[in-house]
Amino acid sequence: MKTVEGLTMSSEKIIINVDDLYFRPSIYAIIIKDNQLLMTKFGKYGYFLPGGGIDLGENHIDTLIRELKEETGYTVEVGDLLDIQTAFFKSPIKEKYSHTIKIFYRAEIVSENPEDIKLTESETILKVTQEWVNLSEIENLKMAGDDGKLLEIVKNCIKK
Amino acid sequence: MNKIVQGRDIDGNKIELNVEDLYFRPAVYGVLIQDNKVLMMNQKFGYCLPGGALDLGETFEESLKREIREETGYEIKIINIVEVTSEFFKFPPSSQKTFKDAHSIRMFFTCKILSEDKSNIHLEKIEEEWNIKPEWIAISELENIKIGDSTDLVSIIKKSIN
Repeated sequence: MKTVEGLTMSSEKIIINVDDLYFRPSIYAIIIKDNQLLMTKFGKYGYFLPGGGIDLGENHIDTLIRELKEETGYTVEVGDLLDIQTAFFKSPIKEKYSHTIKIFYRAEIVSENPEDIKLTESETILKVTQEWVNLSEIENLKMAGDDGKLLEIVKNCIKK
Repeated sequence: MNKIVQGRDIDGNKIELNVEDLYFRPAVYGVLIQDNKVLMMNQKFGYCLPGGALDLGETFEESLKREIREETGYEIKIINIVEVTSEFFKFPPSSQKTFKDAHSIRMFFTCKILSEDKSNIHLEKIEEEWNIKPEWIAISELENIKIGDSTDLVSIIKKSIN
């Protein structure tokens, strides 16, 4: 049986059978304001960028705008395409294994309305919250379901 | 009521597709430019870029290197991501295989050729049926060729040059 090395939400390495995988394209935003990066905290698992899975039939840019609104209440304008990552990932709440395509874009906040926040069931279970993190502190953060690539992408984005 | 999205067929015509019929098809394509020419695949519907769909369990780097090797015999290095598009796509009918309508996430990368070995060319049955073959096209000729693709490839190629 063909296997790949994947990650859990706690960033532990696991072996996943390729036959168990399904495609999960997803999109994330790098939003920097006053030397702070907007991050999503998944309870005990740690931090990642705001964003999420693309729905079938949805343009990926629309996904990013919708996810940001629902997770943070921010209306954003999507900027430059920054990077792409492939990851194999075990869901923290279901026995499901995804072949995730992560697409990273720069974005800027246009307006804010906390009433737009509408967390999904899994986001509520994972105790998802938002935090502005000082750029100087990112290296010390515990990332959720990440093997170091996120820090690299954020650093490259700051340089551009 | 069924949710509908506007999609395209291989000739670029607009068609309506049922969201429930779609499946995710992440795909990667390479823009290879050398001596003011771009490497394109000539096939029965017109020109497209080398590349194709990801297999489950394969990273985008592995897919792109494999697809370009199988279609052109070139070994490549990936330089940069240029564009990502979402496409809702109806495949043309084929005697080989029936394709479902796809929600394709298409990723376009600039690449550099490292080496060439034509004996590595290995076409899929559908690619043979479409008579697909690599061809170097002068950048100045891009406006004059028939693009056989649902995406505006000419603007992606031009974006890769800048």
